[in-house]
Amino acid sequence: MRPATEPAWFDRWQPAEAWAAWRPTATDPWDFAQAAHLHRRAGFAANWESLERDVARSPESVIADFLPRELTGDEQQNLQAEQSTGQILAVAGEARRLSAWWLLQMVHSPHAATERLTLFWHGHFATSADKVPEANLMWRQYLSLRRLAWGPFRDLVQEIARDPAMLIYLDARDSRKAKPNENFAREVLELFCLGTGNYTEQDIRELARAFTGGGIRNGRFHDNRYQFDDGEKVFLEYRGPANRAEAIDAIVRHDACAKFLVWKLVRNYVADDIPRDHPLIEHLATRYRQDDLRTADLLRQIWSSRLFFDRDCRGARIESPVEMGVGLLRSLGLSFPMEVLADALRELGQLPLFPPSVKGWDGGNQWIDVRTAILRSNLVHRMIQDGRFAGEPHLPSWSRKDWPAIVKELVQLTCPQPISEQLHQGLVQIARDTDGNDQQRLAVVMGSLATLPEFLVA
Amino acid sequence: MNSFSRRQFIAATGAATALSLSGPLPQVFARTAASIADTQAAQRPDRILVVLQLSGGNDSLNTLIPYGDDGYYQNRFALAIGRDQVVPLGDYCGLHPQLRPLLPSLEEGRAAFIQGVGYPQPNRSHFESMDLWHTAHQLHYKSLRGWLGAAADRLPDNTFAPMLQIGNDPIPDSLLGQKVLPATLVDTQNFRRTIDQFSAVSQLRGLDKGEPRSNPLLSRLQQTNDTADQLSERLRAASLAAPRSTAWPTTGLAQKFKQVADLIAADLPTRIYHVTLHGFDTHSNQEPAHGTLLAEWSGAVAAFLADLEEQGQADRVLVFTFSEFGRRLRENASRGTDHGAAGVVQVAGPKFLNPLLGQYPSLSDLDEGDLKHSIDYRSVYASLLRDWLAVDPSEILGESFAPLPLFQSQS
Amino acid sequence: MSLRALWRWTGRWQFCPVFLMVLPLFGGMLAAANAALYPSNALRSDTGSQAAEGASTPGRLAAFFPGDTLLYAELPAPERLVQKWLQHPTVAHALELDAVKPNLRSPEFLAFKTGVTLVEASLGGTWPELIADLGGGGIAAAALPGENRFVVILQARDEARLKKAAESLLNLTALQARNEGRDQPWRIESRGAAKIAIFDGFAMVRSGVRLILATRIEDAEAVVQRLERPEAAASLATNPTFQVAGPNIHSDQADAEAFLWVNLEQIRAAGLAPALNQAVSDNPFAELLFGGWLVALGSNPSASLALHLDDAHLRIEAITDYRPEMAAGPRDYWFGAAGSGQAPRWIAPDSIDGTTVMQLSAYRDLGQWWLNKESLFIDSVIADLVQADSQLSTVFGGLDFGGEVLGAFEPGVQILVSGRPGSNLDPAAEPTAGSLQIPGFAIIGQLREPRQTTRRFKVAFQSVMGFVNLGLAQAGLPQYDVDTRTTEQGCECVSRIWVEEEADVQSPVYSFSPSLLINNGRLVLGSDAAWVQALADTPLPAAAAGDLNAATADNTTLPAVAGGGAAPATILNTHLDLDWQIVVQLLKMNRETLVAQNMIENGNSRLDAGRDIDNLLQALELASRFDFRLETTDNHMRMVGRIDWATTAPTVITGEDQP
Repeated sequence: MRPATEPAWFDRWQPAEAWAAWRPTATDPWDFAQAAHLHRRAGFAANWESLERDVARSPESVIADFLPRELTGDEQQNLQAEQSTGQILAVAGEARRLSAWWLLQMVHSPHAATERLTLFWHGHFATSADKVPEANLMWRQYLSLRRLAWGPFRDLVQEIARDPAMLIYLDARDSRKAKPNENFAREVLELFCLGTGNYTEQDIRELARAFTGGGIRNGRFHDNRYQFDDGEKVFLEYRGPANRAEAIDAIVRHDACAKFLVWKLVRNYVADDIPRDHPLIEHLATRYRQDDLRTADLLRQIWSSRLFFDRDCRGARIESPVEMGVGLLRSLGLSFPMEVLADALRELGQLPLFPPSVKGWDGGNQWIDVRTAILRSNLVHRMIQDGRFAGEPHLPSWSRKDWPAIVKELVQLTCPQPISEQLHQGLVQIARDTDGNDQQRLAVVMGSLATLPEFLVA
Repeated sequence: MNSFSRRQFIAATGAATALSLSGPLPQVFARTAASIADTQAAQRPDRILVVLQLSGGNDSLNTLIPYGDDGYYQNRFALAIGRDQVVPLGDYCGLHPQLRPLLPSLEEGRAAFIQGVGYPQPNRSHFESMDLWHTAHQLHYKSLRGWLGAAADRLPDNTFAPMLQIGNDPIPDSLLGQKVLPATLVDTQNFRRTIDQFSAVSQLRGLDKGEPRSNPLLSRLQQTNDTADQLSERLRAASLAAPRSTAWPTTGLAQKFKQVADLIAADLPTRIYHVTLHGFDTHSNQEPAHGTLLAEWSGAVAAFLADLEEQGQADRVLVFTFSEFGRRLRENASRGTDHGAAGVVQVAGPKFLNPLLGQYPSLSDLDEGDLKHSIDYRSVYASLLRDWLAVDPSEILGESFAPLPLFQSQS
Repeated sequence: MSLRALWRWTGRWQFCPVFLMVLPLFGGMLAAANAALYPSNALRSDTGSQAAEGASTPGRLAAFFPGDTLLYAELPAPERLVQKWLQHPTVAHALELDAVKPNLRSPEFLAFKTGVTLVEASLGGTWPELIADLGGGGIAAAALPGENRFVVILQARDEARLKKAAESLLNLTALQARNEGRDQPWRIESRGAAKIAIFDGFAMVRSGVRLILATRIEDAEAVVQRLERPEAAASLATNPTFQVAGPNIHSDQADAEAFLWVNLEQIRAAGLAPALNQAVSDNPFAELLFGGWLVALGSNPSASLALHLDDAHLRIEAITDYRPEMAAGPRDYWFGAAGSGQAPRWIAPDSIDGTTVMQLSAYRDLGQWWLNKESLFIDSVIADLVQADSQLSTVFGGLDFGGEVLGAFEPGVQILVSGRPGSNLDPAAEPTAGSLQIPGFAIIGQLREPRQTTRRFKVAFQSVMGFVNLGLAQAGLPQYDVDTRTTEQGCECVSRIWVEEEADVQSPVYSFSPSLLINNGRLVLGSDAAWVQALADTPLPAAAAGDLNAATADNTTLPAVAGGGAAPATILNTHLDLDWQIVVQLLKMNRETLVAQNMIENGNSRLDAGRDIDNLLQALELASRFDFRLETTDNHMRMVGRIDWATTAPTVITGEDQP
């Protein structure tokens, strides 16, 4: 890690200024790079036409596209059609295919931000299909996460605390009065709501009593009145005969909850290495509490903020494997077998529906080591070599086969920061020297670009 | 996947910057590709442990056969290997004929069977017994970890893939450490960059190296790719090197061992390899199925040792073979055997004290019809940890187990 | 795009000769393309009659090829073939396909069209006319031993026209090269009386009415010499194997459009197909299906193929020698005693409900196959089978799987696939929307000694269903309720999905109720209980006189020819009958699933995937039936595959399923 004395780029911002709305100016305009950054962070990377179109609009209206709104009739229908396919796959029982289908949704769906946020929550409330035998249950958890993703957070936690897949994964199929399941209580406090250090062992024990009586029967959550311990519980700042729902309410009301969630969301959307107790986090947390932990409002503020559009914010995160894979398909208009992509993402450490542990995906430095760096380059190369373009790659200079311009456009699409002229020349040289048809050349160029650090960040 | 407490995974992946980029690059990668030839000639100090898991419960009685004891023939009719077929290792016991490829190593003292290995209160369930072997009986501790993972945590220089599983099996619990994550390798192609075959790409890599980035995050990532370059180059050079002359059998296990040999030849810094061979749960019609498996095992290990000899690495690599339990003395009605208790483990590679270590369990003094153990497997682990990998076993094994003397020269 | 899909689909069926048989569909599409170029060419009656006159007997051109030819292909009457293609109704249908039609207007195709027009103009005729003129007397091609050694001979009807065409060709290529700034692509050399035009990679020479193209100059020369003095040297025509077993071996050679003769002996000697030299196989199922042919290809001197085409059918027939030694070795399980193993016909396929989609009937002594595995397979396969043997023995309570389980059956197996999705017997169960509709299938065998063996199979079924139920429970799916009872005639084991009242999980595959019925020794194991019941009860079809395929009254077949009586002319060893139209219907029922699969496999959007699948289904409607047989006669083995073309045009895609 960075030595503690050296300040990070976000340290120079005062919280109030940082989170205030950004207004484009002549020296700091709303341009292609900013639009690409917004797409890459709020949803997944976008293709050239979308970006050009969005540059012509105001940043507010583009941001509004990412936030949830009423769906039109057509949009509803399309969503239904997609989800019915997911239903079929879920019932057919193979979770890996469901993962592949979800990746497909991320690529083709018009609701990229929702899918990305759902992925975030999935990592937060990690449940792995390796341990949950029924893909159908994983599917239902996905639907719940997606439906409640934008907030308020309380509703989401309430739902997840009763989710069969989650309970199976945490070995909390049933919890009795005589033997309360402390593990589940611990995870709720440590992983879902408050984070380590904000509760005591006593809190866990008391909370576990509030969760008694809940279990799974026939694939559904079931409350067993007789096993519920209705005595008084004292945990955190609460005292009372809380049941499951009331206990969760109490936990979510705790100050540390908002802060913990804001920290995780800021890590996912702004910068990897922001510490948990940073003033920027606290500032947002206050607002988040006021908004009743509605994630949509929080994200709107984050995505509109001056900090977010700071030049240094671009490339401040290591791109996760899913962002990279899905982003590549979207930005170039490429089709590629989803199951192959799923396998590759698993190798890279992030296959949706298969988090490695109950902690989900830590992200940040965890993504890149020598082995995965090689795998990323190989995957990028393979996707372009073996993939199928709908027509041709969506690059303005492609039809002219003007490689210097093409390389420039590729960098603009896939890298948040520019590369040096020398490296640019190096890539053009690769295009010229490689044999084969244009698609193969593109594959080698992109595979080489993927070895540069600028490509690995988002 | 086995059920295990999620708790330990929190710990395991918790502060894990497992294969992290911070800190100085390991010494090993500071060497340039040009010195590969030197590297292969010189003896590297870091020893390698290859663990071969025989899944299903290997029938030790038909592996190391007590042909000098009538009790064997009195309890096995269809399955007993005739005295004329056994490959003798002394007057009392000998090898199953399909293990003949291992005979030269045994005679040379570079392979040994440790007899009567087990643990108190034998557990005859596949999953549970294998869990015990994987975790050295640490199942009941909150922070479950595998003994090999724990060892890797304590190895110096464990920043790049210190543990590798070869083959498509799920990662065994023994490889789960707190800091270091294991990786699975099915194909060495995984470690080679596809685009490195193009010369223009290496030019680009050169340009990249010449441009240190000021941004700390970019700088770190650049270093990683640098290391990747070196590794890819190393593997490429290794693949161009003159092929070694050892002949490998075509079996699946042999191919896995060949990968290990190739990676060792390419000077990969991995210290622990894990390979699995399935199929030993022979409840019915044990022969010739068991014989086929033994042939696969011995053929693969013999070729591996020969290859290491050719590479000059024979003293640096140890193959440890175990199974979750042995099988019963008396054969069952389906010409097979059922789950038992004590069995043999095998070690091969450097010079050992004796080809037969420990004592063959008595065939008359049985524990509910099963052989009694005289050596706790954790003593073997202690020996491998302390005397081979130079890691302190006491933290890993929980209680103190005196290491079993194995090696001829303890250095 | 859909062509790719079609290609991918057929590419999966690697063992099914359907794959081979569908290739002509592509030929049909090419011809369709031509029809698009020359719509008026569909009728050329005058060349048709000339074609009938000029049709040559197959093998006539063989005299000009060397005796060690590896592969010899011949089109004895090319213009007849072209006419058939042009007039073929299926080709017209193919033209209308949504996948093909738009491509005919694409820039690539138009460029191709222009190129073709240019060639025709210089050679003086439309494409079919050129084939008639230049190849009217037959076209033959051969692959010779050595790398990249091919020879093609065209026999024209008219020498003058051939001469002119050859000259035009030379001029055209020279002109094109000049336009592109390259050197002249050919030079002329004289060898004796002949003048050879040598291009880069091949040589061309004209001798009389024949045009010869060869990849090596020496070969072209040799052909010319043979043309001038046909009796002098040995040729393919004098090769004894060719004389005895060349294309003339086909009984209906006059109607065939194409022949291919394969010199197996030479190919094996040259080591070109190592798989043929292996006595053992690496694939148990390929061995089971084609064992007899594997040994034939590995030991016979040659094999010959013929292709027949008319408006209703496409038929490909392959013939090779049959020698009694083949049946004596480890392939006795395949051939039967003295090669007389007949495919059983215990159930006439259409006797049930008229919607059987597939019927496969074969003579195979499975017990013997299993016992012979040491001689049939490579080591790793044997090892796998030995392991499987151990496990399967356990399922059957410790019996020897090869000898006692598989060996309990008479040689012969019949496999049927029903044309309707199976029914589920549990009234409480509702089929899930979008779940896979698979048709019922059944395997039928005949037990040798029903009294002893019936119970064994009943118990084994119970064990297997037990395992299955445990697996289902682990996966959280509903289990099977298995009813078994012993009856007078044998036993009845029926399983139904059992769905608990409040359970929320739905079974993904609903048309599946595994059942086993044994009726007086006839064993029926199938996936749909009702159908299995019907199959078990169906009486034997009435036996035609002297029909050795028929079953006898006591439910046994006659596996071998008895001592007296005339040997049958043809023994049908294996028969596969596939009603393709029903297959397409079943696929249509599963369209949702296919679309989802396409989306995931290719990363396509729903729109693109839907289009791909619809195009594929439409293309599949071009054929209606597929028939495949393996037969043995006294001296020969025959493999015949026949495609029946659909008589109606493929349905137009209405687009109602498109979002």
